[in-house]
Amino acid sequence: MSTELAISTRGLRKTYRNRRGQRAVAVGGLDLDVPVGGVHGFLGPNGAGKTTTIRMLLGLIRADSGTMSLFGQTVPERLPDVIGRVGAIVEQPKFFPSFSGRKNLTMLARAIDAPTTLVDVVLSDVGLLDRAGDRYKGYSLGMKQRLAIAATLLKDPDLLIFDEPTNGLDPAGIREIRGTMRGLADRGKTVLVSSHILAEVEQVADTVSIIARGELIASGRVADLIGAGAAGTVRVGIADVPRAQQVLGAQGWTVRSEGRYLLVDGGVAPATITEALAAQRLFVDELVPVRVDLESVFLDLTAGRGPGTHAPPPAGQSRPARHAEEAS
Amino acid sequence: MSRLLRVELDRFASRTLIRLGVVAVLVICCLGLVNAWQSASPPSQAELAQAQAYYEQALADWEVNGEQWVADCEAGEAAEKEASDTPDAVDYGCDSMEPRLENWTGSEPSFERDTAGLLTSLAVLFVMAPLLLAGSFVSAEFSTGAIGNWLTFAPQRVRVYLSKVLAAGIAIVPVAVVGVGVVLGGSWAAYRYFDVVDSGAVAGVSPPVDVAVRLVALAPVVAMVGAAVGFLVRHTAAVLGVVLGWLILVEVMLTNRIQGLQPWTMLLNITAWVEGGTSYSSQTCTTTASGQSCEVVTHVVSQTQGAIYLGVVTVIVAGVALLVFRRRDVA
Repeated sequence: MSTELAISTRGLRKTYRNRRGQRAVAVGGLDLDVPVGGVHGFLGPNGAGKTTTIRMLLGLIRADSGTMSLFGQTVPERLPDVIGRVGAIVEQPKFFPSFSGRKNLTMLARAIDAPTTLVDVVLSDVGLLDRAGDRYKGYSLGMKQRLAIAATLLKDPDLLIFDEPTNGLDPAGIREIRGTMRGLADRGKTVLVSSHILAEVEQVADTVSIIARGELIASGRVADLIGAGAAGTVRVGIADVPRAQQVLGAQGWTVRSEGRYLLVDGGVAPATITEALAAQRLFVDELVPVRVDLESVFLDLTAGRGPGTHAPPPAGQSRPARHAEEAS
Repeated sequence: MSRLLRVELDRFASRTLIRLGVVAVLVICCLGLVNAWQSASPPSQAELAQAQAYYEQALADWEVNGEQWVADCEAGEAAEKEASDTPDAVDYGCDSMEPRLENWTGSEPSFERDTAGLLTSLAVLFVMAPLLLAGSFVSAEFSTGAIGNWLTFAPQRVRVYLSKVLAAGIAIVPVAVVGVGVVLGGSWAAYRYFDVVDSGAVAGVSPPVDVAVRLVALAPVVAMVGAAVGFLVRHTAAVLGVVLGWLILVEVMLTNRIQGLQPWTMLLNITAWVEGGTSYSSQTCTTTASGQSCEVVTHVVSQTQGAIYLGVVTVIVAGVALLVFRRRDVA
């Protein structure tokens, strides 16, 4: 993976004034690094600050403080210099509803001085050429999403930013978008995909950053994060759970019961567990190393971080960002 | 910049709402020609006969009561002169009370006077249409969210702003030229058709070509104001609301309460520009020993004042809109 950064933010902060005049923090000092190349998942629950961060990077909203750069160019100051290398879809695709897909793209192409002949090429790339003359407002959500991707391709960008790209899509559409993102990354592009659907990102992302309440809480390679989260838990299915727990606990291992199962934490080898139980004439029905997915890691990391996470925070609780390299 | 301007001009011309609006403007202009046709056409035999009958009836009444009516009129005029500080200005028109046939046949048609009047009456169309069309042109981008997408392609907000405002101003010019041309040309054709011989310039009335040129010049200025308002309120309905709210609250209600605001109303200054100058009246009342005496004073508003006023308003609205657009977050 390249050490060059496509996106970098330091101390990025954005607050909004709510209806009662109080300041609500949308992004609270975010440090984010997205390396050049590959698919980078930008994860966080709804309200975590993903879209706000993307909007700030694209110059659509102003940051209260902090710095941002795209390919080393400070934004928003140098955004005009670098915007040609960046294609973005922020939330839902938004085009002129009464214009056709082709007309919408033609206007965008002319705005960036791209040849208008490119319009049909990108429409063909996303499979919309036969519906290019139809009005945008008549498109299905999937078609709108594909048109938005076609729009980003007009620039032949080095960095593509997809904000919740599969919202509202059917399974076929989701798979299609996933394939498109992977294909772009395989062609050497950098793809930043923000999502709260972790299983979807896990299948396509090379690296991820997880944020909650506008702060980075973990980042790194997906495999490393999952490996760090797994920490070698083994699930043991056995008939006499209390006695087995006693036996395994006596070995000094951390053992938890979960219904008719025991969970042995701490990276104990399954063979050692079998040996310890068999020595006491206890025989396992089932012995499974627990596979931790990104969702489990995410829920573990974001638990107790309040709004923009999945549980309210205990008073004063705060955890530093975890980097896969450190944790694993 | 010119690239963005060309794209915006294309978008302006392609919008369905704007196309419908342009058609509506042209239809209204054509309806105005019906009025020109009626003004130019000579009265029919039946109308002449009826006018003659009314005239003879009035003349008969005049022969019986005329002397008394004149005496009453002169008495009233004399009383008013005595009470007034400016007796020379009091004129009840007692010398011209005798009925004349033209009171019923109407005045002789005049291309110059009638067409200038027709164009002036259509001024509201050439103000409201550019304002609303340009307002919707910009605000639709905000209400659909397309502006956010647009800014990811063209992030320089000043250029984006200028391209949209200038496009609105430029694109409305051909619409105004065609609309005004239809009225002017159609009216001329109607008066030629009925062989109305024109007496040339009419005192106190701008030549219709001058009015037409001023209307064409006004349309792009108003369109740019409309586009700027679109940037500020970001919704077509809100643009309409702002325009109607201003008319009702400021131009009518507030001005009625505070007479000093009259020379600074938008409508008066637009009228001054279009008609080559206009006037308004204010009433000054004083309490004397014999009671309250009120005097109506007429004030002149020059075309120059109208032009300066409109220029200043345009610069202020456009400047504020630019500042707001540069700083405001785009959803």
